Amino acid sequence: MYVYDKHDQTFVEARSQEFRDQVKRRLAGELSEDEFKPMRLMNGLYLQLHAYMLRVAIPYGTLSSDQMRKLAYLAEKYDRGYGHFTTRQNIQYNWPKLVDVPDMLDELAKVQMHAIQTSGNCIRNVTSDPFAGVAGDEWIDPRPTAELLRQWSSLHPEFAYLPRKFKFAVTGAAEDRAALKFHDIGLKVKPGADSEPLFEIWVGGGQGRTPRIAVLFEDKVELVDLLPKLDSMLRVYNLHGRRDNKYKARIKILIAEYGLENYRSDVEEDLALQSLEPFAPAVAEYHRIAKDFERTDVPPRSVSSPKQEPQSPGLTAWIKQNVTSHKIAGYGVVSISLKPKGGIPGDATAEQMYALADLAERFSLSELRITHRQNIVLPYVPASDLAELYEELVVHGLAEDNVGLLSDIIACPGLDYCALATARSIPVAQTLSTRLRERESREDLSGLTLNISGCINACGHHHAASIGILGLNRAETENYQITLGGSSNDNASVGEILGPGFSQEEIPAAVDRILDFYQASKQPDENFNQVYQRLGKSAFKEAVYVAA
Amino acid sequence: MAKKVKTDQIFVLTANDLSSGDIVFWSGESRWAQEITSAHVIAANEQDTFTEIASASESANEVVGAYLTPVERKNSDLQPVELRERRRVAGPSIAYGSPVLPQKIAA
Amino acid sequence: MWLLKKDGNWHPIDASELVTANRVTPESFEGDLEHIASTGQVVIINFAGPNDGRGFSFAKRLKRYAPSLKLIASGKLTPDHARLCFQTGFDEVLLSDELVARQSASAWKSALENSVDRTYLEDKINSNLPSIWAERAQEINR
Repeated sequence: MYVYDKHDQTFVEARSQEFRDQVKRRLAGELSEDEFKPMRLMNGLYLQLHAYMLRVAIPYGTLSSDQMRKLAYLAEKYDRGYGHFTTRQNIQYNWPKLVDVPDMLDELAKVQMHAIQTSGNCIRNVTSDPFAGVAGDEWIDPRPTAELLRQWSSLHPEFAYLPRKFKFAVTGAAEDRAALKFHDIGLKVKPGADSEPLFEIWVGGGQGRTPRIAVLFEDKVELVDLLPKLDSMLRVYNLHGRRDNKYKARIKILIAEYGLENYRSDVEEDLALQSLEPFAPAVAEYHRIAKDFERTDVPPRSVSSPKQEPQSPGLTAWIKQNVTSHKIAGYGVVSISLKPKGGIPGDATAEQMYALADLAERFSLSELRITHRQNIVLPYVPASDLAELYEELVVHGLAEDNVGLLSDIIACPGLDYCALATARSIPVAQTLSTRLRERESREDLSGLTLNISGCINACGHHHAASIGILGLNRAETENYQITLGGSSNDNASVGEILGPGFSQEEIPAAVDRILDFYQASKQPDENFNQVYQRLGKSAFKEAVYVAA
Repeated sequence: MAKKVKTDQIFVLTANDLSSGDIVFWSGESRWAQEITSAHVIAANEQDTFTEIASASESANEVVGAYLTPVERKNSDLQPVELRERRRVAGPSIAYGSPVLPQKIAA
Repeated sequence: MWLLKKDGNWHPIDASELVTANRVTPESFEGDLEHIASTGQVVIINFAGPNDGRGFSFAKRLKRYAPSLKLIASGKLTPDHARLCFQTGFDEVLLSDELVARQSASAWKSALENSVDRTYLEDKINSNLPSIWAERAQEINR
């Protein structure tokens, strides 16, 4: 993992002090709410439906046991004993008091954490592959790039007031586990000559009201050119992105309206004016950072299977579903589901977070990851410890064996918390997960995803799911629209609206009819989106609406 | 933008407390209360007066984001008309923060 | 009107002293840096609102194109924008009497002092402390 040096530490502490001063000025009335709002947002502090909400950054989803323990402590001391892990690999606290937030940030700074740029119209916390560094299909660890971006973008003086938020994701493996093409800029890292990284830059992806798949901006960009290029890409966006309508302010709209070629030539023109001096240390920085991510402390493990103790059916199922092969023989990558049957997707109690911190220490070299599907990963678990780990997880209610199944639902907080939401997401997820867990015990529901958003802003990634559910407000009643055929992987696609919406009560039966039709129609080895593409919307529509 | 409202529509003035973030309602006694049951009921033709009270309280840094929201009387209680406001007053509809019950280890 | 300098100090200025300055708005900017640079030595860049960051990128480009130009930021700014102005190429910030009356001189100076003005790529304002990356590079070469 990346470990802060004295400069990083001083920087984060200084930012915490700066925010303390801003809060003090706000409480004293020196700053109006209009003036304070962009400042608090830039440091992750929202005013939600019921209370303030603090979003803490977990850069590229990697954290240590000590950091997880601190997150648990904050939940216990300053919140109501729980936190919510988000699709951007962050954690949200739903009930902090403004007066307590400076102390929370000081606590975070003690373990090299912060809330910098987790909101606001600036470059947001960079996300990445939760299996970075341990996946068998990885070409190159994306996290040194992500950390380089974190440093470049943190408190960047020019990009604090962009037209709209700006999201980066970085991956370095064959499989896309970070929804790269749904980001404003996605970087795919591959090794070039001498194993130096080469970058594909994808631009203009996003969800929200106008979902777009990113397009390739440039291929084979060398490390030395990366940051000057990104700096120019952001500058052109800052100058030309629309500011008259917040729904048209993301870079995806600039690319669509201005044209990729025009955008590209403006970037080139700006690059010609760039002073490269501030970027000169970037290559050395990258290699300094990369050293921290190389784990040299992974003890070799026997690959021969130990004497086979009889496994409980629960353990066998959990290993099959939640454990992925590791690039180092004798280890497994363990995904821990935060989607218990009937539970709240992404929520963990303080007690569970303490347990996760302890288990990571015992079984995973003190390292954890957060996934964009709102689950936790223990990246370094010896195969011989899986049974023991499983038993511990059972005790803490963390052993649901559904990672990658349909009941592994992404859901935003929705109208239960969010000031922007038009309908609730969580109760829909709870009902569906209960029903889907029952179906999953009888039939194979892998290879398709179900995501729920409580408004058109699409924080629950409904566009990017095989089955997407979007909660709307129709005449002051919650109503849910279904989209089909979306995907966030390398063949990213945007789901299509199936037809008229449903009431909350009607949703489970509608989902059942979709699944019944899919199961009856699918050919061997076909996944949901393939069936959907082959048969088309009308066939599904008939199955869902006519059969009703 | 002012919506056209029925002349018999009633309102309450609500906001969030600046330092705690708690939801508050104008009680009509120069103070903000935590419960909607203590809210002062505002008639349609009194909206301007209470919009001024809202601005003054915001300027005095007591509350954030004050606004009038339409309510109706249900039995003897006040209930917001809008979905969002009903949820805001009722709080989250889910049992949050409760630990998920451990499953039994399958035999 | 008042002019705020990098060191946090101010001085009053009469509007007549700036009549010859070239006033530009980033929103109407069509990319002709050459024209702007040839119109005068002092350029006042207006910020349309406190959340409109175009002026920062505009200043950065213009300063690189014509480093000898004197750039002045004006418009709807708050004390916390001062750091951003000075790190994106502005030499001074022009403040209206109204802004100064509401925010007070000390607010601007204190925001500048309390801001995190040394970043990974930016040198500390008013100091010989280089950016974090520059200092790390020096440490590696030492």
